[in-house]
Amino acid sequence: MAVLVPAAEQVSKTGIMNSVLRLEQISKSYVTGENRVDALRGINLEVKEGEFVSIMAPSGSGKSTLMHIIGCLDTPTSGRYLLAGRDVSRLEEAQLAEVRNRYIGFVFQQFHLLTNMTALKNVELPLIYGKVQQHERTRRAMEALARVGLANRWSHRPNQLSGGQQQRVAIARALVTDPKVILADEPTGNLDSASSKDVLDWLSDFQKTGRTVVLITHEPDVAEYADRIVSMRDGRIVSDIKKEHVKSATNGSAVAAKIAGELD
Amino acid sequence: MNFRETLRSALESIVSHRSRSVLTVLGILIGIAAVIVTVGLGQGSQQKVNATISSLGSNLLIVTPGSTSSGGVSRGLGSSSTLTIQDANALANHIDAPDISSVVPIVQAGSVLQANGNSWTAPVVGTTTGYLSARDRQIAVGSFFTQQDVTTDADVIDIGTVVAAQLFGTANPVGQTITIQNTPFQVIGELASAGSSATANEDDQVFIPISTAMTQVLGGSNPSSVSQILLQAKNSSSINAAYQEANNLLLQTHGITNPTAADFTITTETQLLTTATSVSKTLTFLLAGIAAVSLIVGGIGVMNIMLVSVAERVKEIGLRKALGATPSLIRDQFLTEALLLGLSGGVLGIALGVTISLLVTHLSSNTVILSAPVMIASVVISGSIGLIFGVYPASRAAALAPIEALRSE
Repeated sequence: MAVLVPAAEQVSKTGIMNSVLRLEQISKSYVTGENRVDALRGINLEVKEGEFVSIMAPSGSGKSTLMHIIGCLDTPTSGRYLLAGRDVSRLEEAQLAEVRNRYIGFVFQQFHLLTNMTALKNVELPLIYGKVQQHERTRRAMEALARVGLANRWSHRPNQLSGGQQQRVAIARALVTDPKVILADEPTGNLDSASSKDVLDWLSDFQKTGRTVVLITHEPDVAEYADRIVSMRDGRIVSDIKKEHVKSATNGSAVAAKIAGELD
Repeated sequence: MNFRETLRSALESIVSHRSRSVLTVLGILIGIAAVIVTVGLGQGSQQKVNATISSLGSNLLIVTPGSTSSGGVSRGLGSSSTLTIQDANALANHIDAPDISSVVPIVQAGSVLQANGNSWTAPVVGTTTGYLSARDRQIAVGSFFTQQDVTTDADVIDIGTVVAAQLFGTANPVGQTITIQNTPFQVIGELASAGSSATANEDDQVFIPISTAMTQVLGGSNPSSVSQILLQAKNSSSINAAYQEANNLLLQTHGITNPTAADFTITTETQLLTTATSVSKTLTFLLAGIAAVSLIVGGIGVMNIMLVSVAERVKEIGLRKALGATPSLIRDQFLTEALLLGLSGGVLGIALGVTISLLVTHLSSNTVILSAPVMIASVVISGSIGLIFGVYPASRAAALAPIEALRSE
């Protein structure tokens, strides 16, 4: 699949490292009746290619809204959002759909697999919307299933798979389009600890192939898998700590826990 | 996502919700079945009417006295006595009317018939020998009266099957005597049954030479007047010419210059056919109208279930959108589903309609005609209904915001 990143290329020629996500003064407000809710208040965030970033925040802090905007599922009220160098903050529905298909692989807490389809068909789904031909589609979907170790379960339906296996199918579905960013929203929220570790390992593996992972969670020990932890509160970013700094502290998870404690 | 993918995905969705799909198409199914049966019944009865009318006789024109409308007021046919035996003689002139092959004058009046102590009231028809061929009737027993009987005012009579049964039971009527107004008539033949037409029972009639009828039985105020004159055109293509010739001759004979003031009416078989056809067409349209209403109700059913289906599949729609489905792809997917539902309703409806039609044909005297154009139209109509009533649910699905859709549990 052709990935067009003209703006990003220009940036890299000027010597600045490629940024995959770049949020500039992003705000999002909802008006319900006479009430105005400011879910995001001027978010500035840049994620570079190959980073594994956790966005850690308690519920109600605007992290879902941020995830929707990063995932191009929603557009900001104000501010600018560059995804792979392309301004996507003012796009139409249909264009957003294309951007999501091309650049983003979603992993959801609820797995969101279609129950009346086999694992293979579920993984093929984004390729259908990416206009990939049937033969090529099946080949790539099988390959993605093999990467998450489920090649032999391709014909199973979601209800014939365990929670962990379902989430692995969802990861295969996110990987299959070879996206710029994997956006995982509480991916371990519905899994036991063994399956959780599995899922997080798959995400780490994906990062090692040079791809970018954005993980949204409220659990410190999940956030700790990332090499950068961004914390949010009341629609603002309150801290942004890189793993180097985390590592320089005596205990990485202690830092994450400390941040979590501050947030609570 | 190309058309094949859309089609496959729509089919998968229909098949995976089998019972709901069947319920959805039930309205269209019944509507289409009703269309097939009612239109088939309509065409069947039309065919029957056509057959009845052509059995009246071939290439027939009927001249009746009086105009159908006089001063804007319609009077019943034959309500005046302006038609005479002289008119019949004039029409029989092969030079003035070359396209008329035979002329059969008829006088007719009800009378009491007596025989063997039984009595029966039936129309007495005075006519000429050409009657049988003009009316396409056959003699079952004995013979019809001859030209000589007409010339000599013979007291002979041919009777219909109903009259024969009433007066003589199962006995052979030929050779028996029937008395009409004190004149004894010798029965010389019995006509084969004509079957009953829409207007009169043709078997409940007796036939005597017209000369005898005019002089001995029916003599009214104008002894030369006749009830009607049957004309036979040479062939089916000369009916219009025969009509013109008869019309001109009669206007001339009656000394009428303004054709709209004619004191006679000429009816052709074509006109009868047209009238009957228009009646049965009206009936067919009425029935088709009822079927159309049920189709619209069926369409609303499709819309309702599609709306339910959209509401049920909000999560699926959200996911598909998150994975890159554009609003128009989602719309197309639901439209295709609605189209397929409509079409399958149509096909099932045709199957049901054909089954009912075959049953009706087997179990009753009605004929149901199954016509390919009606079936093709049914498929097109049911597909269109699916599409039209699918537009609203499909655009609802297309307009769903992906985050709303993903959030719902």
